[in-house]
Amino acid sequence: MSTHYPLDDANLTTRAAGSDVVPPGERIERHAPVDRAFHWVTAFTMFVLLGTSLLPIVGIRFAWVDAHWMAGILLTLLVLFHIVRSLVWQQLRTIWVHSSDLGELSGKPTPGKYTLAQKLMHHAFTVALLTAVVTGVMMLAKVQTPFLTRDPYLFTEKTWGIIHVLHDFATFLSVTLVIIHIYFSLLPEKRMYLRAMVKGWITREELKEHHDGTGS
Amino acid sequence: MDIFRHGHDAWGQHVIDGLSWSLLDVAVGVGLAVIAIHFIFRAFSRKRRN
Repeated sequence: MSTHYPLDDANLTTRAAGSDVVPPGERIERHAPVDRAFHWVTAFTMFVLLGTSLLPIVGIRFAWVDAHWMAGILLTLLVLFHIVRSLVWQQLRTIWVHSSDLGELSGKPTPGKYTLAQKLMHHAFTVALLTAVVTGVMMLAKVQTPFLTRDPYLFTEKTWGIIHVLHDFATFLSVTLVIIHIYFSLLPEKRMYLRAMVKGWITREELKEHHDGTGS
Repeated sequence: MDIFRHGHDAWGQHVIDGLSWSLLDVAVGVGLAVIAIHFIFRAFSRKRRN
C-alpha cells in the first residue's frame, strides 16, 4: 500500500507541511484493514441476525433464540467499537452531510471521501442499527443468558410493545437497506468501492476521477 | 394490511406485540423498487450519453 487516504490522520502532517494531498503512487488506501474487518464482521452478524429472526417468520422453523442474542451482543460490541474508532481515530467530517454535497446532484463538484448517497446510506444504517441495538439490549431481559437473570416483567406490557415495534422497524429497515446496499456494491461502475472494501485500495486515477481528493 | 401485531396481556387487555409480519413484504418491495427505479434511470441516462 503506497499511501493513506488524503484526509486520514497519517496524511495530516504531510498536508500541514504543504505537500501534495495525494502523494505519487498507484494505490491509495481507502479503508484500513481494521475498518474492512469491521465491515465484513458486521455484515456477517447482520445476516445471522436477519436470518435467525426472519426465517422462522417465513416458515423455516428452528431454535433461533440463542444464535440471535449472541449475534446481537456481537453487533452491540461492533457498534460500540465503531463509535469509539470514528470519534477518536477517524475524521467525522468525511461522513457528515454538508450543504455542498447537494452539488453532487447536478454532477459537480466531485465528492470528498464519500458520495452523498454513501453518506445517506451510512446514516440510514446508523438509525437501523442503533435502534436495533438499544431495543435488543432491553429485550435480553426476556431470554435466559449466562450473565443475566431472565426478567420479562422488567417493563410493562405496553412498554414491551413499543420496544418490539421499534425492534421490528429496525429489522425491516435493515432488510431494505441491505438489499439496496448489495445492489449498488455490485454495479460495474461502483466496483472500485467493493474492491476498496475487500482489498483496501483505490487507484490514484479513480480518486481523481470520482473524488476531489480532500476527503471531507 | 395490518400495521401492528396485536395480543392480550395476563388480564385480557389489548396490547401491541410489534409490527405486522406482512410488512416484511413491504420492506423487500421497497428495496426492489429502489433497484428497479435506479436501473431504469441508469439505462436512460446511459442512452442519452451515447
